[in-house]
Amino acid sequence: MAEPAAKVLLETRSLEKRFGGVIAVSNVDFTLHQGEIRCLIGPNGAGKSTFFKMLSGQLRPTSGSVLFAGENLAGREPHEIAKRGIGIKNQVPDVMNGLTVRENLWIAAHARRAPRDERRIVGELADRLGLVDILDRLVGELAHGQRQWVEIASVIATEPQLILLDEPAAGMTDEETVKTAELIRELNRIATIVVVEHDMQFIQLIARKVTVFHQGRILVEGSFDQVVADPVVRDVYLGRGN
Amino acid sequence: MAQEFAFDAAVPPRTGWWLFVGAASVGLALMPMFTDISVQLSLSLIFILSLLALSMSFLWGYVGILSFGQTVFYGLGGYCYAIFALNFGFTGWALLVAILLPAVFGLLLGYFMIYGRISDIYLSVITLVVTLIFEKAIRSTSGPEYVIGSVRLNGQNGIPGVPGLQLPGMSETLSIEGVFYLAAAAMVLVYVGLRLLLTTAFGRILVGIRENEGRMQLLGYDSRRYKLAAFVLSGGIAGLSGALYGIWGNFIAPEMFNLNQAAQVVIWVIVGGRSTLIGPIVGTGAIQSLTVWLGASGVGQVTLVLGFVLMIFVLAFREGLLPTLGAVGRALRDRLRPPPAGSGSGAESGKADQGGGHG
Repeated sequence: MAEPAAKVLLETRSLEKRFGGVIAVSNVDFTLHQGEIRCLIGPNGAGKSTFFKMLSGQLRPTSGSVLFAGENLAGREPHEIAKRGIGIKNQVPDVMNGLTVRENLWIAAHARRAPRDERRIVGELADRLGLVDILDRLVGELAHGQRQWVEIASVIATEPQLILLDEPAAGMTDEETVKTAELIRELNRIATIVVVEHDMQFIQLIARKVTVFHQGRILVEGSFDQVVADPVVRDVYLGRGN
Repeated sequence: MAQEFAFDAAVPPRTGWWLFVGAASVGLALMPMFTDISVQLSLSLIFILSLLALSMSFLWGYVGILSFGQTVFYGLGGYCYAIFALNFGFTGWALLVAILLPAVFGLLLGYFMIYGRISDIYLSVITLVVTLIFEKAIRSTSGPEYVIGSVRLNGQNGIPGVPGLQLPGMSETLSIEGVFYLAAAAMVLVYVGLRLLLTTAFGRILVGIRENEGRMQLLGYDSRRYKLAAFVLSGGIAGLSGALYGIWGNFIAPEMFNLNQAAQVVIWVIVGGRSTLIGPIVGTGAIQSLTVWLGASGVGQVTLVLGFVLMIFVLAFREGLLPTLGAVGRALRDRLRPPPAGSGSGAESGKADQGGGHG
């Protein structure tokens, strides 16, 4: 009887995305409860990032619906979706390279908060994510891992209810990866989180429930142990390395 | 000093910048005492055209939109002022109309381009085409049937006898010296206003959009609204420039809309440096002086020479005059005063490189 009272926060129904003749995401019914940390895994090209981009409004679904807190957001503009409380960290660091870390965080905080609050939020986030020493450096000059942190911090600054993280640990050192996992667990106290990752050790650190994508569809869904033990999953995704 | 004109200028100006603005204002205020009328006339024109350059560089350098046809607002401003002032005589109101009407036209044009998700390159082309359409349309109004109120549009002959500005409480229209002060004040105020605008939340958001529009949308900003607001503001400034041109020369003509004029604005901005606001003013002054000199000394071939200058800047000094001088200044300073161990000039040059990659 896990979390019987949890509300459904996000639900997609028959969500589909075609690029010409290619079906990137096909007929996906996905349900996420408030307070979850969910991991999406799957081989490259399985449609995970496309799925994320439809949730955040960067791509318009070909058909189907995205219900967030009961409202259909399919086809809405990215800024409208952001205002309703969905924040996304994209796969490639998606930040303002020509601005400083402070300016990046300020702009993000300003998107949701009343004036005067931004400065406090920037200070708190910089403190929490260890960005204090680099606040006045241009983001474009930072290492890949640091830029990932800046982007994650920007997303947090907008105070979303649902945070989508596309490969948050990619390009990070082992130490940074562990820190990221800690941060995600901490964030989970205030937000529901979906993570796309490849690193199984990282997934083990954070996820209670895993959804496996394959060829644009949901292949299997279950606990980490169930999914890892699933023969079909081993075959299409995990098994090849072993 | 160069830092105040730097690319990422969303930080509040320093004391040095205020001193510079103050000194420049005092210098401009005293200038008519030491110069004759012809110098005042040519400087006034440079100030007026600088406003046009500022309207473009604000949009291009800080928002990332190259509006090639800023002259559409410039020409509209000129015609609005002339038609309103000749019909009603209230030149102060005419000046206001000449700012507002181009801004409203910018709102319409910008709405269709920006909300229609036209890519940046098409936006450049469309604004240019629109200004050329205006030129063509105005040129074809030489017949007596083309009258607005009591003013004949006069086709390619333009409208002569545009009244000078007479503000409430003044017994006569502005003298040449008065126009000099008006143009200088407008330039300084618009420059300071745009510079300070960039330190506001609105300004920072514009810079954010230039840097990464997609990310700004994902943070919850409707980037189209901000871009449109910037486009409208820039249209109003260009309109002011056009009206002042009419006041300065007592004459307006369809040439204000033409390709030559549109291209010159781009040259001023590129030569001066689009990543700064002071650069385009300097660029306008330098190119305008060169143009006048080429004409007066009988060298001719103005277009050819300007094209050559543009090529040199695009190939060798992509950042433009002022940012290049700033970089040279910093390099010299670093050489004279060795930096503390461990910190090279990498950060500085990295900053300069950033500027070239945008817009």
